[in-house]
Order: sequence, then structure tokens, then C-alpha cells
Amino acid sequence: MIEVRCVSVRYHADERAALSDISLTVLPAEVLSLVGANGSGKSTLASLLCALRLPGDGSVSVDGFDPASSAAARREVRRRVGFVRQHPADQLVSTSVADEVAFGPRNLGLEPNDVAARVERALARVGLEGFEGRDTGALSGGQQQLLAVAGVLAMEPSYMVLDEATSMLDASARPAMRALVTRLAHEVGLGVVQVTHDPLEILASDRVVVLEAGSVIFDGSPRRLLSDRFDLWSDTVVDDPSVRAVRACIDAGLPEQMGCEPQGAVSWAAEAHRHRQVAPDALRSIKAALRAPEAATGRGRAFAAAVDDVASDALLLDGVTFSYDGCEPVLRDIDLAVQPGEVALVAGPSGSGKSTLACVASGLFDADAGSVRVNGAPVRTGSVGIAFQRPEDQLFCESVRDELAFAPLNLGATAQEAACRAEAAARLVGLEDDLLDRYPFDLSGGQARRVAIASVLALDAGVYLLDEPTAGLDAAGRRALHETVRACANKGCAMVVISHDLEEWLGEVDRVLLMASGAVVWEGMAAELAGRADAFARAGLRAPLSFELDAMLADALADGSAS
Amino acid sequence: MKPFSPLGSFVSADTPAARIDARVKLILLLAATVGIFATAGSWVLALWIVVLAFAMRVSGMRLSSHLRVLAPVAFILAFTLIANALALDGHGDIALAGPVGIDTAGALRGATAVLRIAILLGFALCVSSSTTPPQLADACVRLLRPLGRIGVPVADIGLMLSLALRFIPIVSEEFSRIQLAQRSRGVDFEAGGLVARIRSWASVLTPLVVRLFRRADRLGESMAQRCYADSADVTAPRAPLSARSRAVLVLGLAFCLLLPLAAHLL
Repeated sequence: MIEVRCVSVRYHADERAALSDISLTVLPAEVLSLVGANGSGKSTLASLLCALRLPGDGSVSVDGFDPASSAAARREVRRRVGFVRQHPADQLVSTSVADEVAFGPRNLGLEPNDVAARVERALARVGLEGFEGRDTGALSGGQQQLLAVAGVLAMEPSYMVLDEATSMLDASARPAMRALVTRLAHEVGLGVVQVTHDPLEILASDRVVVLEAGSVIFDGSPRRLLSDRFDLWSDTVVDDPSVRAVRACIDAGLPEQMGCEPQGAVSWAAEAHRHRQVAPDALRSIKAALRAPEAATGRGRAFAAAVDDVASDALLLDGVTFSYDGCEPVLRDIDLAVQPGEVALVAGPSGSGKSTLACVASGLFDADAGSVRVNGAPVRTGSVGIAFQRPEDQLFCESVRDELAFAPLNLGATAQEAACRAEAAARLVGLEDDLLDRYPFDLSGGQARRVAIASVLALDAGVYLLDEPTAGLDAAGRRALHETVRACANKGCAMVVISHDLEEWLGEVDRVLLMASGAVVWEGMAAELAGRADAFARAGLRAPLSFELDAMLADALADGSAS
Repeated sequence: MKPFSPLGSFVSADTPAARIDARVKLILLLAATVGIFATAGSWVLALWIVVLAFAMRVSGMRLSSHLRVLAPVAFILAFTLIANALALDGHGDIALAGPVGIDTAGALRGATAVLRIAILLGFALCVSSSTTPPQLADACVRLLRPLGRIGVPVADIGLMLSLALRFIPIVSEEFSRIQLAQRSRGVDFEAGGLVARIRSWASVLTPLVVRLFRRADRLGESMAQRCYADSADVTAPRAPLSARSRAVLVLGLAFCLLLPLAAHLL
């Protein structure tokens, strides 16, 4: 058992405490989700649990070992509590898979045979058998995170702390990680603490602890959070159709012992309906819950139609082909047209060419064949704004204000114009005025992301491409960014969002393009995508969970009316 | 976004050279380096070229990739050749203009030097194209291991090498991503005088270095979390050479030794 007793942590004497007077226990064989807004103290608490940091006041003990008592106890706590971070690059030390997993056991001074046995067991546990000799850099993001987990498992820990370990993963890699976490807790008996924003991970856990401003404000089952404290749930967790469906199932009488995983809940409802224990109306209300409360889709098209002088597409790609170094083409004959006021989503699995497409569409790479036009003229750098993944990595100025004025100044704006555009961009992303004079490197993750997006919007271009703009953000940050994207479109900009997370964006965009192996395999309005399993199959994507649930309910309703 | 880099030139194929232990390949590369520099006769260099052609064949390397790696050093090679061949004090065998002439002995010397470098580069590429970075790092550490007896921290060197090999591609990818981002924000890396250029590169290097420091912190924490202590012996267990690797080692070493010797005697 991990016991946290009356712990407080303060980073700077003049700031509020990161954690104030927290008490918590973590039991073996349970999955505990630690949720809360950015800056609520989740990561600090996670680092205390695994003795990466020692508490200022109060104590932590792991199976009776207090990391503050001696170096040996600290080492033992670190062995007992494994830690996995957000980025593989922050934790993988070796270029070879077997060597990576062997790092921990070798540090424990084990015999070569024992090390080899542990490496084999750990790799088998995470499903990476046969990868021993592979290069760690050549693995996919999802495989690298599984490898990081294997590296921790080889230490034979009793607990594991995952600090947003899935937040940078493809939607397609997350189910494997979720299943692994459940297996490790319920079959192996590990106590798992996961810091997460992902609603499905929270639903799949045994217990949820919600932190706010360094204090625990909820500790209980996910079902209780969902049914009794839905206000708190919707404040801290991003809105998700599957979650709404689970809530509707609870209203329809989902038994307590069923847990609250979406598939389980909905298949219970479907089954109960077949046995006439649930009325068709209840089933229909579950089905209705899967749809977005207010359909955003199509708004952009209406806007485009309403504006008379829209003669041409803001962004037009015609037969674009591109390859690096004349090798295998990365983009094959891509046609893409985005109108002013429209939000388009480009989705596809990793390596399908989405990011390369963004580079070509913004004039950073020259197409081998075909043309890219912006408002009728050939593209040049600066005529399309592009925010890469984790755009906060490109901040470098002395103040936020300088950062926002940087692009306009480069493109020849006067100091006054640049200042105006900087302020307009700050308003678009909702940056408070007092942040403008802060040092960009001192900002929190969510704030830095907003500054970085604003520094691109300050270009005042008619077209923007945003690559995974919400990755790693909390619920509030995501909502704010969704609003920013729509606000830009309403100003008449053509917006292209690149993301693998269809579930998150389907309700926010007008049109969807699915990409696979460098080609567009499906294109249409967001609302048309439902029931197009073939489109997902062609793109090599898994259909969003809400589509799967919707199909289950439709089948059950059809059965009910037939009998 | 993967630019070509000779560091990542590993060709994933089951070639005969890929099955040879990396330690053997490294030793032979060293021996060949000494051997090539120990011989000057033109017919011997021709023999080395034959050996190189054979090595390229068994390692599945294409001539085009050899030429591609030579391209960046072509300027230095050309400079070496010209510096050796040109005589500016009038002692040249073939007069060109005034005191400027071509010194044939110098030209031959220059050509030999250029050829040696081209051959060596070819051998080095054969090794890197048939060996993965982890195998290479592992081989270096194993070869250095005897030095551990005289107090060289071989395990730490090994870990450092492994981390460096792991991070070179990550950092170079990050570098090109940030550079692209700043280009899209209107930074022109080619324009302006020296000061303007330094300023525009600062927009890439500042965030890159800040990230590197942060990453180093987090990586250090992750290593401590997995009980890393600098005193621990973290090297891999011993692994004896296979019969085939032994045979290749003996044959290769004999060749590298005998060829210069034969050239010297004949």
C-alpha cells in the first residue's frame, strides 16, 4: 500500500502550494485515475508517489518504506514504484530494445541470466516478444510507450505511476495501452496510478481522484463521479459522446456491478432491451446522447455561402505529389480545396502523410508535381499559417508580446501594425493581458500552447493549418482551442486541423478528409461519416467508439421492432 | 521529415556482412585504415578497390550511396588534389601561366591521398550499412572493456555512447521541425548580413537548447527512477564470437597485414 499522509509541496515561497495537505492511499491491484486541470498538482503528486521528489511536509510510505528516511529506502521505493512519462524521448536510454529493458535490472546488480529472463518476461507482458534486437528509434510512438512500460516491469515493481503516458499517442495506440493497464492491475496485481485527461481511461479505472489547486476534491468510483458529481466531471474531463451514452445507460438502470465502460454499458442496454427490461424510448435516448448536443458541422459551409465575394477556394491543392529525395512518394496526387469560413479535418494513421501535406500546403516544401494556390495566387511561405505539433517548442523571445509580433515583423509589418496583430491574435486565443509581458519559458503547458498558436495566428493569413493542436491539453484547454478554431473560421479564415483523434474533432469541423499512404481515401461532410465503416477501413483507422456504440443500439432497436 | 544522413545509412537486409559480429567489422575497419595508409603503390590501391567492391557486394551497399556521402567532402578532396598538383614557384613540370604550373609528382601524391580517403569512406560505409547503431555502440563498449582494468569507466562511456546514438536522430528531427516552423513565421535563413543571420539562427537554436536541457533533466530523473547509480556495472554480458566471425577476422587481418608487406617486398 502507498500511503500519502498530510503532504504539502511548495515550489516557491511566494507562490501558492502545489499540493496542500493531501492524504491518499493506493492499493495493490487497483487502477486509480488522477485527474484535474493543468496545474492542479497531479504531476507533483505522481512524482511524490515514486520518490522522484520528497514532500516538504507530511510523509509518503510505500509498503512501509519511507523514501525520506534513507538513500537505501529511497532506492527501494523507486524499485517498487515504476514511473512512465509522457514522451518516450524522456525515458528511453538505449538504441536497442533488449538493452533498454535490461537497463533497470542491470542497475539492480542482477546476474546476466536473471537479467535476460526478466527482459524476456517484461517484453512478453507488454506484447513486444520478438522485438529484442530492434532499434528503439524505429518503433512507433505506441510501441515506444509499451517499451517504456516493459523497462519498468523488468524492475518487478509493485506499483506503477503513468504520468499522461498516452496523451501523445495515436487514438489507435491507446486501446492497447488501456488494456495493458487493466491487465497489469487485475491479473498481475500491480497498483496503477494514471494521471490522465482521457475520458475512456477514467471510465476504465477502479477509482478516480480529482485534484483542484493542490487539494483532493473527489475520491471515489468513476460511476459515482459520473452520476452524482456530473458538474465536476464535465469541468475536468473533455466532453465525449461515449461518456454521454454511459450516463444515459445509468439513467436507464445500468446495474452498479456492470462498471461503466462504454461497450459494457451499451451492450447491457441492448441486451436488456431484447429481454424487454429496457424500454425502446430509453434506448433511443442513449442513442441520442451519442450525437453532439449542437451540431457544429456544416456551419462553415453556410458561412461560405452567405459571403458573396467568395469566388475561389482559400486553399487549393491540385494534383500534388511529393517525395523526399526522389524516393518513394509521400503524397500521391492530392486534391484539396478549403473555402473561407470552413473548418476541414485531415485524419489518418501515423505515417499517412498528414504532416508532410501541411508542409507542402504551407509552401515550406515544394511539390514535385501539381500546384498549391492560396486565394488564387501560388503559395509562398507566410501566406499560410502553420502550427506544428507541440508548437510551444518554437517559442524563443523575451516576452509573449515579442513572440506574437515576431511573424508580422518578419513579413515587413511596421511596429505598430505588428503590435495590433499581436493583440488581435491574443484575443483570438483568449490570452489575458497580463500574460503579454511574461517570459514565454515561464508559462504553464496550456498557456504556452495558446501563445504558440497565437504567434501563428498573428500572421493574419487567410489560411491556417494546425497539426494536433490539442494534444496533451486538459478539458478547458481543448474547449478553448475548439472555440479559437471556430472563431478564426467565422472571421473568414480557411482552417485545416490535422489530427488522428476523430472522436474529439468530428463535432467541431465541417468536412473530413481521411488519408492513407499519402492519398486522400475519403472526403465528405462530417455528418456523412457515420455508418461509413468502409471509409475507416480504407484509411486503416478504427472507427470512433461512438460509431460502434451507435451501430449496436441501432441493431438492438431493429431487433426489438422486428419481434 | 527525414533528411538523408549517413548516420542512418543502415540497410535493413540480411546480407552476409550483416551476419558478421560488429566487433570484427570494427577491428577490420581499423586494420584496413592502417593497411591503406601503409601502402602507396598504385597496383596495391587497385587491389584495395577490388576488396572494397567485394565488401560493398556482401554488405548490400549501392555505389550511389557511396557517391552521395562523398559529395559533401568533394570540395575538400578537390582542394587536396589541387593543392598538391599546383606549383606556384615555377618548379612545375607542365607550365601553365608564368610561375604557375602542374607538378606531376604532386598530382600523383594528391590523387593517391584522395583515392585513399574515398576507399576508406567506402569501407566505413560498408560497416555502417551492415550494422545497426546499437550493435555498433555495443561493439565499441565490448572492445573497450579491457581498458576497464586500468580504471577507464567503460560502462559510463558505453551509456554515453548509447545515449548519444539514441539522441542524434531525435535532436536533428527536432532541429528541422523548429527551423520549418520559424520559416513559416517569415524567418529567412539565407538573407541579410552576418548579424541578421546569427539572429535568425537564434530563433532555432534557443528553443532547441532549452528543450535539450529540459529533456536532459527528465531523462536523468527517469534513469534515477530505474535505480541508475554511476557506480553500477551496466554493461551487457560477454558474448563470444561465432566461428564464421572468427574466420572472417583472421582472414581479414591476414590480408591487411600481408598486402602492405608484399607491396613493400616486391
